[in-house]
Amino acid sequence: MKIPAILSMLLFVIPMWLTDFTKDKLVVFASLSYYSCDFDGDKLTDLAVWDSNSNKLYFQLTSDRKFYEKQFFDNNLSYQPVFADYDGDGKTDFTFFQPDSGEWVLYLTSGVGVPKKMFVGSIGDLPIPSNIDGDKSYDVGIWRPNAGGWYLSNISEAGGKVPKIIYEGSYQDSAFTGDYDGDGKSDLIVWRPDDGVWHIVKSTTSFNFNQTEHIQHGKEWDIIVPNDYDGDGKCDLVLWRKSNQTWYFKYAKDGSQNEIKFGGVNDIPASGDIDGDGIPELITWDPGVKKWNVLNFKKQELFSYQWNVPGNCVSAISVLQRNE
Amino acid sequence: MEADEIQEKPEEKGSAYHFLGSRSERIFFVALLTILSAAPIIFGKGIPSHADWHIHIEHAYNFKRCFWQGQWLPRWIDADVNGAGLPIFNYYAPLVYYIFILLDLILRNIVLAIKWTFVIPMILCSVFGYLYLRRHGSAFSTSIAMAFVVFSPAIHIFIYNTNWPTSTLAVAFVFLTYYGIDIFDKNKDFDFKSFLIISVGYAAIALTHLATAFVFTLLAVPYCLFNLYFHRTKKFVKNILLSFAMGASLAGFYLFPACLEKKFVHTDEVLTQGPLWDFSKNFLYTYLDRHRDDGFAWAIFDHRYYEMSNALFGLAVLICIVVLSLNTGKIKQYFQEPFRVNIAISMFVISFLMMTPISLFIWHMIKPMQTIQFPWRFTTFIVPFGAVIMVYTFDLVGCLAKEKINLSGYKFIFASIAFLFAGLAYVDFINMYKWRWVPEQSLMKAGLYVLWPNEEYRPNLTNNPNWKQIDFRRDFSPTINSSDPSCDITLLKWLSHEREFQVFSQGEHFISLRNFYFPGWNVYIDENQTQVNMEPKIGLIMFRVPPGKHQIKIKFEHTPVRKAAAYISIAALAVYLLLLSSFFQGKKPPAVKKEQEIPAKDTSPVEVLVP
Repeated sequence: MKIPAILSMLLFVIPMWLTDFTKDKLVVFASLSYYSCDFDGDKLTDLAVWDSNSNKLYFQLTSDRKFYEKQFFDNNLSYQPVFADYDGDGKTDFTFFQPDSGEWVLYLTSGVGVPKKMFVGSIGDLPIPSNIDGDKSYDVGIWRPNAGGWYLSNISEAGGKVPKIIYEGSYQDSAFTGDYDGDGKSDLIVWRPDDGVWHIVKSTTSFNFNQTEHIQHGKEWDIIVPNDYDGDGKCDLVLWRKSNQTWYFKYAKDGSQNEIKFGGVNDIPASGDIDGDGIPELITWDPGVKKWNVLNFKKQELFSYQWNVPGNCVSAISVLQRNE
Repeated sequence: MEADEIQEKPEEKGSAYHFLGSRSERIFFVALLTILSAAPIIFGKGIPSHADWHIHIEHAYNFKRCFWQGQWLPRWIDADVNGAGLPIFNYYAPLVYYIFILLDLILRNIVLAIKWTFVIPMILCSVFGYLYLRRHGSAFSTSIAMAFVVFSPAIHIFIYNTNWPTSTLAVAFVFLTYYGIDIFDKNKDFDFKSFLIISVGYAAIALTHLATAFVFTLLAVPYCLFNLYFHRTKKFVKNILLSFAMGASLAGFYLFPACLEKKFVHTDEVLTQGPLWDFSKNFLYTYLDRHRDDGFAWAIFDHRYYEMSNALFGLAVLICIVVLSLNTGKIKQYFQEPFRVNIAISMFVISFLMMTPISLFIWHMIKPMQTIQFPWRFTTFIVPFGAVIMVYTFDLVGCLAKEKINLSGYKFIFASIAFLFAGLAYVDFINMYKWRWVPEQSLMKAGLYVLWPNEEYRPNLTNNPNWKQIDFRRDFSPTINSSDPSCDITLLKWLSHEREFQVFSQGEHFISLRNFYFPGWNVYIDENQTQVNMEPKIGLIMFRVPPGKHQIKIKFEHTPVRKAAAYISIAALAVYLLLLSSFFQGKKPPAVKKEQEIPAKDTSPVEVLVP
């Protein structure tokens, strides 16, 4: 009687001290590399990984080929990177979102070193950079899944920034902003895993919900990796299927499709322009062996980079919608 | 029908095979039924979508999240109402959610954990159901009746339509508690076994589903009064009262605050006044709520299947009641405690009538009953009493068969019962696939993102009559806001039940949090408790901060009621474990006496038929 009682107690108590047991397994829904990850402003993607346990960023700048390890925040809160160029200087700003409190912390490269802090959104909201006014910079924005509501910034008639709320999407969607119609302004796009349909509310229709474009592409558990893969200035609808490690492309210019098998079953997909030709390469991060895999599908070249970083790092290019 | 006619054929003797003749065969039979019943959830993708499934999944996920953040009983779910938070589990029974946490810990997969949270109550219903029924009849009859139990509306329809297995798990503990009452032995000074089982069963019902516990307590009054027929002793009354007191104390850490702090939320107002919750339109076998706008029950159950399932089960029991009524003399002859048949029939009829408009006056008389929302909650009690009636009937007919009485008429009745069972299983099957099943990713995302604004658990401290008008899903106000726009806020800690941050402001300012004020939330400025000035319209936490740099801590703590309730539960648990330990120590028989053991008293028929 004593032994089962002790074993039962241990079953409950031991995991309390093992943080990993109390966390969910990593499940990635969307890898939003579209907002670029270019910290030095040389138009080349800088690879970066984020350790949410220690709030440390590990990254390599393409300009000097050096590795950097940067500690953000000295509290016990967990932050998520939301990297984009928020000040319009051509360099990606280190920006983070605290998902429980809705706090944004922006280390603007044009700033004086003091981070800009603001509270936009709350628990359950997803941080998504947006540029619906078509200026040079991204603005902080959130998408609220249970309301299907976008809380965005827009330029007012007086010239200042004012909040704009647009309703689109459902709680189960993967949401992002991207320039699908090529007018230089972000469109609001959600992908619904239930039926694999992309719903696009376009800036050219003044975000008129009734003129939403619906495109079927993909199926449940696919990870969306949208980006401009053909360099035509339009965001293509792309997803990566973990089960067969295949990328499925649907190009915005003509709706044509393509497939490329690349990556490992445990990888996290991403994309970014590594060689500077304006076309993003296919990138995957294997968190198990801590290795980057890069496929330049134009030149049919494959590269791998092993990084010596802590085991629980995930890729930080530039927003990862996930459950962990 | 010549029930008393004795046949002339000589009795066949020997070791011929009898269906369900061995224990292993019966275990396999009941296990197979349970697996068949649970298979669509175990092997299918996702769960059936229906009514408020996403609310329960979200509550489960956030219960788990808050638990691992350090709230052992996560009374406050911070994520709900889009960050304003709700004291849901100060009121909503938590046991199923603890099972979910345990399963998630073992399986490491949220979708699988949700599925098995449905399956475990079904398994427990089979185990405790068998235990309870076996107390009243032969193994064969019990096994056959279990087929009806497994596919009964209170278990099968509840699992596949309510989308969270609280009611079903409560059914399992109802079986256990009735078993504890029924095994009471008046020859003992104090029947520890009965006491321990009733206590834990009653506590488990309360921790699983408060509405079922409430109804159980009401029905326990006539049931225990009926039982006085057998145990006309003070010992029985003492045993029962102490058992219920111990059960309530064990569950007290949840039960007492849930009852005593109900005045702080809108529960009664929402559950009894809203037109969608009009209990009078949710009776069984009524056509009032055929239109979806007429009643909320349309969204919980599709009545075509729910009513049909209830009707088939009820009809099978009705046939059994007819058989028993026609053989009252035989019952007295064959059964040690024939009055138990009367108890079962009476309790079945009471439960059944409580689901029909006949009982409308009772619902009006006992106002608190309206907070259980739906008369069909009595379905839970239809199952144990209906099933035990079946067991009595099967055993009676078995005895008659053994006497070589001509049973041709009864064969027709049993064929009808078999047909009704087939119909029940068919209706259950159709019902399962009537609904769109939730894809697995949506299931997971419902947990993460739905953040439901349950109105019944919304704090009511503002006395604002228009409290429902604020749509928090469309309110994008910040989580922390200072009246001084230049105030610098630095977060230090942010958990569901505890927030800590530093503020710096040149002047005095007010800070408001997107967090409902509810008894238990306290604010400390530089470790000194400060007064909370509740925001008057919505009821959010607001407080004054003096100029300069300050450390703010906001904590959700125990109120005196919660603290006292927790101490009572701890004391009750200690006493319970002590009694349990002494019970098991006293039960160990000396090895030499093993062969002299007297069989346990069985109140099943005198001549139990085991084919």
